[in-house]
Amino acid sequence: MIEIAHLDHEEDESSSDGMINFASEPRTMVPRFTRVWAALLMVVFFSTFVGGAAQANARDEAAEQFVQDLIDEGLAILQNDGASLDEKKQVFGNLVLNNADIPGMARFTLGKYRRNMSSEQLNEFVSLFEQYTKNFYETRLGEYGGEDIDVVNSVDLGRKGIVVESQMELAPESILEVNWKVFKKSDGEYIITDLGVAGIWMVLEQRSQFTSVIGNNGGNVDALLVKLREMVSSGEGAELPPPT
Amino acid sequence: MRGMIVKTLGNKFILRLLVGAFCITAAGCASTPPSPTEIAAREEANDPIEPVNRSFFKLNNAIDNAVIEPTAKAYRRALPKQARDGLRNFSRNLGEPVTFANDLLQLEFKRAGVTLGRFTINSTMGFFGFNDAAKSFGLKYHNEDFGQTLGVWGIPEGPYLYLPVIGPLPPRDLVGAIADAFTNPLFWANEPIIDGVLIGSGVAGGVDVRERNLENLDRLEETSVDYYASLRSLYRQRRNYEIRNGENTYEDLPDLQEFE
Repeated sequence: MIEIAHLDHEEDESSSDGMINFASEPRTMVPRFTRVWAALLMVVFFSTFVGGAAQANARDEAAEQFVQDLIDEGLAILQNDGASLDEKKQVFGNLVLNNADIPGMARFTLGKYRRNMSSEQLNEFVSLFEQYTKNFYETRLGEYGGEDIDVVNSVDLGRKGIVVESQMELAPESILEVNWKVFKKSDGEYIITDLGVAGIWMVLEQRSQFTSVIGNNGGNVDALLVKLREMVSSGEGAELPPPT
Repeated sequence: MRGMIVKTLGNKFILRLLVGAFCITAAGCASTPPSPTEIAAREEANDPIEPVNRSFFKLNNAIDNAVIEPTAKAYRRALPKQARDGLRNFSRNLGEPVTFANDLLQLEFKRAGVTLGRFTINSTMGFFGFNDAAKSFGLKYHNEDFGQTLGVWGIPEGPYLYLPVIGPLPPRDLVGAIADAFTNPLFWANEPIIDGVLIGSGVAGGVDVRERNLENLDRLEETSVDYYASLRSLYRQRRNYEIRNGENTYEDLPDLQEFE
């Protein structure tokens, strides 16, 4: 209903635009059936548009399978009693790196400042980001209690990729939403581009930190590189002085 | 009457803190004019008074280290999980009338029904709210506030604002918090005991939230290159998620292929 009302409004505007000379004429100048016809056309146009959007929101079961397999693989690593925590972290970290689009995520977190960077700076940043991401997930591994995570749905966003929705059962009646932004590469393989926990997307959050560090240092990308180097070299559970 | 005096005094105290901190920081910032890049960065982050916000953030971290975190730790040591859950339930139950009002304002009648049911069951069977008995009737807790209602109505959050003691509270949510304080029927009870309970439950609720996030916040600080910006992003993303009532819409998600 709202769409149609909106379209009517648009139609009114366009018809008055087209009839500047007759601005004072009553609108009945346009035969009624033409108006009805135009409205119908609009409805058809709109329904195809909405239909297209609905199609774009279709599920992608292959992507769901990819994520579920990844979760199962991660769980298997964690539940491997023969391995020490350090070994588990190592294997898990590699699992993250092998399935995440590290260079793409890294570039995204730089926002507009990526353009100020030399290729050396960018290369260093990508490798620091890789290590940072690995450390980040390894650090959090210890907190994970082995709860089940089940893929429940997916939404194909077209160009923007696919969101695979999963749920972690923290306790009966208490569910944590974990969403995976997935991208289908040209070779048909899937790759993770972001992780959203309870509505919070990690890469978005990282971008706001990184661009803030660069912006607050007069646009100097080195300021971020210095901080990341510090953080990465101090490794897991990096202790940093409080931000100034 | 005495209740009103307590409230006014409380507000005056907060106001003084605000004004005091603002003067200190305003004086501090005035000496260093920001560069154009810095101004652009602040605009991009929708955080035009970032230096002031950051100084409050620093202040709050100091307060947290000195008072709130130790209190939260002591609270954890002193009370078993069950008792802490009970206190949280009590504090949440006192907030249900506000949630109910905002459910209605958002035309979420089903959720309003859930809130009303929860409040009725928990206030009686649930022993003044200490026990979340409504949960076993399938009435799950949710929280609404007027800031969220304004968000549902399409009002943007406004520039970021970080306040002493209180933390992040951008204009929309600040207006919301004030409106909610007046919406709570208990606010109008004008009984010293009820005032005491309200204030006490507010403080206990805050300590409880801090206790539940002791590890999370430590981890976040450890893994952040800019803790302030990290929390700013978390606050905004989380609020938007709450405004959508946890429903997933991905229209706002950026296109990772575009790096602008």
